[in-house]
Order: sequence, then structure tokens, then C-alpha cells
Amino acid sequence: MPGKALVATVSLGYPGGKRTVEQNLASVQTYLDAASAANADLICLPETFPQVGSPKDAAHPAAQTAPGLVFDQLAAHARRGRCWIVAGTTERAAGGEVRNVAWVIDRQGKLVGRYAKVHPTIGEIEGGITPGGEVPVFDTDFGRVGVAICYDIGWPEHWAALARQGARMIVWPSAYDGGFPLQVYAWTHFSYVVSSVWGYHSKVIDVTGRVLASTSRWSRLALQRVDLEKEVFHIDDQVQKLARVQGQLGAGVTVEAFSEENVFTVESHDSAWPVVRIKQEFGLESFRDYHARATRVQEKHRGGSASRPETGSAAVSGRHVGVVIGG
Amino acid sequence: MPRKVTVSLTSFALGGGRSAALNREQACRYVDQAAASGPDLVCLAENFLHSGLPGAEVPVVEPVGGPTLTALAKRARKHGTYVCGSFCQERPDGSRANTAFLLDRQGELVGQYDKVHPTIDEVIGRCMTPGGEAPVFATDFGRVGFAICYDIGWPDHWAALARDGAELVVWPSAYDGGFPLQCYAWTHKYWVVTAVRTEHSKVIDPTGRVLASTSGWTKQLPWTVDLERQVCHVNYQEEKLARLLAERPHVRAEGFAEEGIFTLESEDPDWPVPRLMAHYGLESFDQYHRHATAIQDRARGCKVAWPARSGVAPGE
Repeated sequence: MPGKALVATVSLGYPGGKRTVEQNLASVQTYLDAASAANADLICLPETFPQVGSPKDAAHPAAQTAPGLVFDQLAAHARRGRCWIVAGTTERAAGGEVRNVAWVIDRQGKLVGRYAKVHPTIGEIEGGITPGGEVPVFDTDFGRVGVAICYDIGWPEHWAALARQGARMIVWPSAYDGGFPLQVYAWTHFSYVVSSVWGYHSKVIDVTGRVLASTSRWSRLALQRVDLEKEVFHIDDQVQKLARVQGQLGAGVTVEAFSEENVFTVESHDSAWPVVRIKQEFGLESFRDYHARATRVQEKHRGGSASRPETGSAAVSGRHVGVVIGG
Repeated sequence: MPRKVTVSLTSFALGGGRSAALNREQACRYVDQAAASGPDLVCLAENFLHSGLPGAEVPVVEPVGGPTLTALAKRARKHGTYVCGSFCQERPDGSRANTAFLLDRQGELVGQYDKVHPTIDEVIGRCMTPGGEAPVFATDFGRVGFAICYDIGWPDHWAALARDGAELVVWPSAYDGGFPLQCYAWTHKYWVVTAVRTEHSKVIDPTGRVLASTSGWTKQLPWTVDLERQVCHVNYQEEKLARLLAERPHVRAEGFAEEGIFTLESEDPDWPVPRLMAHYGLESFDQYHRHATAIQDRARGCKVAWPARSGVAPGE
């Protein structure tokens, strides 16, 4: 089915000491092979994984090009494993500029595109990394994917821009684990988030913000099935329909409802019943559509949109309302 | 001074009386019971007057000077605490709104907030006019904003409260809310306090963690928070933090391994957090990101042009 994919993500477990690009490639290849043994559709590798442990030198001696040593090996694997690869590396452009990028490689081993880190750290910039200026999304055969790298985590606009362009999964190659904000972005944009890090915890996070799979101190590879067509719904006026959906579609559908959040998700396993058809036939409205409709009703009855000044206004202080209560 | 603020969580879980009057009494009882913990703010649920009523769809409507605010104002004055909550109000012009109120320690109305995003059923079925503004109120302990129930679905609302400097957002609601409340707390680095008609009224800290929750077994819970608590990024600050901790014994710094952040809280009246930050040259999480943005923009030679909704723009 169109949105389904088996996602693999790799962590490095804090490899210490000096390392060469060849050593980094060799250790990652073990996990590429393991992921492809499971027929992974997408394999995610950490930020600048080939350069981990190489000298921190403004000349960036280990920076890569495509084609080149690292790219060629990843592309060969993508062809062999018929899988997509998203991998972080520093890359030297034709003009000599060095960027911190993620390559997106397709199942034929072709470079579909690259994302250059828009928000490098101050230290990276001082070390000669040029910030990127674009936030592209990439169409795969299982859905639209965006990329954010490490410190990009601190800019909510970045993640919002990916979601606006229709990304249903955001891959986050990073040096550090990231933790809670990744779950926040997943929920905020109802997008899968897949992290791949130097440390212990590379994760696959659900559109509801739950961590579905994680590597750990003891395992470098995590595999998780996802479905980019899965949708989120609000319970209002439609939770009553779920039993009928489940009754009619049986094992062809997974419905999950969340008590505290008042939402449910619908994922289809029956190609005759994609989510779009389930919505139509059972009269279900997505969370987003429901809120858009409610916004229109609110605006009509308010007589305009809500006032939300771009710059902060002064706090309302006490006793301005002039209403005397009680005696 | 460190700003330790005691909020009293209440929940009308499966409770509520058989009439609005009984619910009003219950609300007053909650304020009375909270008094022992010396609260600064007692939070009551959205439309607590409806709790448990069989005809909950029929709104219980009161004017501003009606019995509920009068009774609660008396309690606020008696116990010297702020009190907030929401109920449906009818205005002199006959219009109705789902309104949150904030009473001060003298029992006077600091201000009100009309729910900006009522449900379609509230607007069409119950004639509630949506509010148009989300004010932030100054209290003697900090700046307080409100979001009511269904407002949870509009991130712009929560962002506007942050822009106006809210340090604590109260969310009176009919339902628990769950994860998105933690998301808003993290995103805007403010405290979120909820008061619900279900079981789980919560205190959520600026890192998104739930610190306290009522349950089916404890429907009232006092909890002390520090509105000065600051979130900082670890980058370039580890040595400064180490020096601070070596020199200032009454400071609590909590590190978060996965997130790469720490929080700073002071128990020393002579060393409130703003003084600590200035003295040790620490940057808050937001300051650090603004500072980095300026350096990135300079190195890039321009600001980022964030794309609007569009098709694919592959890098090749």
C-alpha cells in the first residue's frame, strides 16, 4: 500500500577516539546490511557520520562529494537493497564551500536531492560551515519526506515549513539524542519523526508523538513499520462511528483512540479501503478539516478573525474591568 | 526574589452535584479546602457549574455579577488567594460567552477571557459568541494567560500568549487534554496548569513534564512552582554552569540528557535567577537561539525565506 514503509534507523553509540572515514563507513555498513536483510524501505544514518572522530579542522579534510567514496558506497547499497537512504555528511561544493548536508538517495542509488543544514551551531560556522538557505521536501514512493539536522531542532519555523509543504515524515540526522521536542514536533504537525544520532537513542516517533521504536545502549539498529497515509481525527461527533468502521473492515483497519487527547487515528491495511475511502464512506472528517471548519464557524459568529498581535502587548493589570462583585 | 507560587489543582471528576447550586457549593468548598496550603491561585474547571448535570447541553448561564462570582469572590477575599475558572455568562446586550474569570486576593475581578474557539456545537447549538482576544493578566506573582478547552487545537492562540509574556497558562477544560498540553509548555517554555471536569488536572513545567496530577482518588492537589525557573541550552555554557554551582549552594540546576538543556531555579533570595544569569554570563534557551540566528543569517548572507505551501522543491 502506498504509505507503508519499513523504516530503519541507526545510532553510533558514542564511538570514541580518532576514526577514519573508512572505519565509519565499515561500521555503518554492518547495520545497512542488517536493515536490508529485513527489507527496509528507508535507512537513516546520523549527522556527518563519515566525519565522526576525524580532526576538527577548519579545512574539513574528510568532507565528501557526490560521487565520492562515501556516496558511492551508500548508492551501491541503496541499489542492492532497493531502499532509500537518508545520510548526513559534510560536503564540499564545487565552489569550495563546505556544508553540513543530508543526502536523499533513492532505490536506484540516485541522488534525489540534498538538504543543507539551515541552522549550524555557532561553533560550526566558526569552523567554516556555510549555512543552507532552503527547506526542500522529497517525494518517495511511500510519501513526502522532509529533513532537519541536529540544531535545526531549535527552530519551530523550520518544522512548520516542512509540514506546510506536505511532509508526512521528517528525518532528523543529529549528533545528540534530541528527546522531547522531537515528540512535540511530531504531534504539532501530525508527522512521523525519525531520528538518527551519534549517541544511543535513534527513534521512530509516531504522528501522535509516541516513541514507537528506539535504539539503545545495547542495540544500534531499530526497525519500525509506519504508514504515511495514517490520519488523525478528533472524537467530536464521530467517535460513535468507530465500531461500525471496525466491524466492517475488521483486520483491514487499525483504529487507535487516545483517552486524554480526545483523538483517534485510522490506518488502513486493505488496498480496497484506503483511508480516503474510509473517510468518505463513513463520513469521517480529519482533525485538520474539523478545525478548519470550526474556525470558519467561529469567524462568522465573531464577525472576523481573532486578534493576535505579532508583538506582545502589555499585560492587563487588575481592576480595569470596573465590575464590582458581591458586597 | 524567587517566585514560588502555590497553585491548587481541582478536578470535578465524575463528581459534581445534581444542580448548578450544588456545583457552586462544591467550587466554594474547593477554595475553602485549598486554604490550608496557602494557595496563590485556585483553578476551577471550564463550566464547572455543569458538572454531572443530566442536561449538560443546556448551558447554565449567569450574569457577571451573579451568584457564582459573588460567592467565589467572598472566598478569594477570605483566604487571600487568586481564583479562576470558567462558566457561561450572559451580557447586558443578551449575548453569551464561555468566559474565564480571574479574581484577585481581594475578591475583585482582575479580568475575563471569552473563549476564542468555542466548539461548533457551542456556537450554533448554545449561542456562545466566540471571543476575539487573548489577554495576559498581571498578578502579584506573574503574568497569567488563559486557553479554554477547545482552544487547545489552535497553536496560534498559545503562541500569542507567549508573545504577550505569559509565564503561566491556565487551561480550564471539560476533558483531560493530554499530550498537546505538554507540547505547548515545551514550545513556549511556560507553565501550564489545567483544571478539568474529568480526572486529570495537571501542573506541567516549562520542559513539558507533568509534575503533578489529580486523579479519581485525589480531586484536589496543591503544588508549588517557581515562575522564575529558566530553561537554558547546554552549548557553550557547561563551564559557566559548573562555576555557578561551585559558588552558589542554594541553586538547583537540573540537566536533561537527551534534550541537551538544563533548568535553573534559585532558593536564595539574594540570588534570583535573573541575577545568576547576568553574573555568570548565561543565556536563556531563547536568547541563545536568537543569538545563533543572527550569526547564521550573517554567514548565509540572508535570512531564511520559509516556503509557503507548495510542491516538491528537491535540492537537485
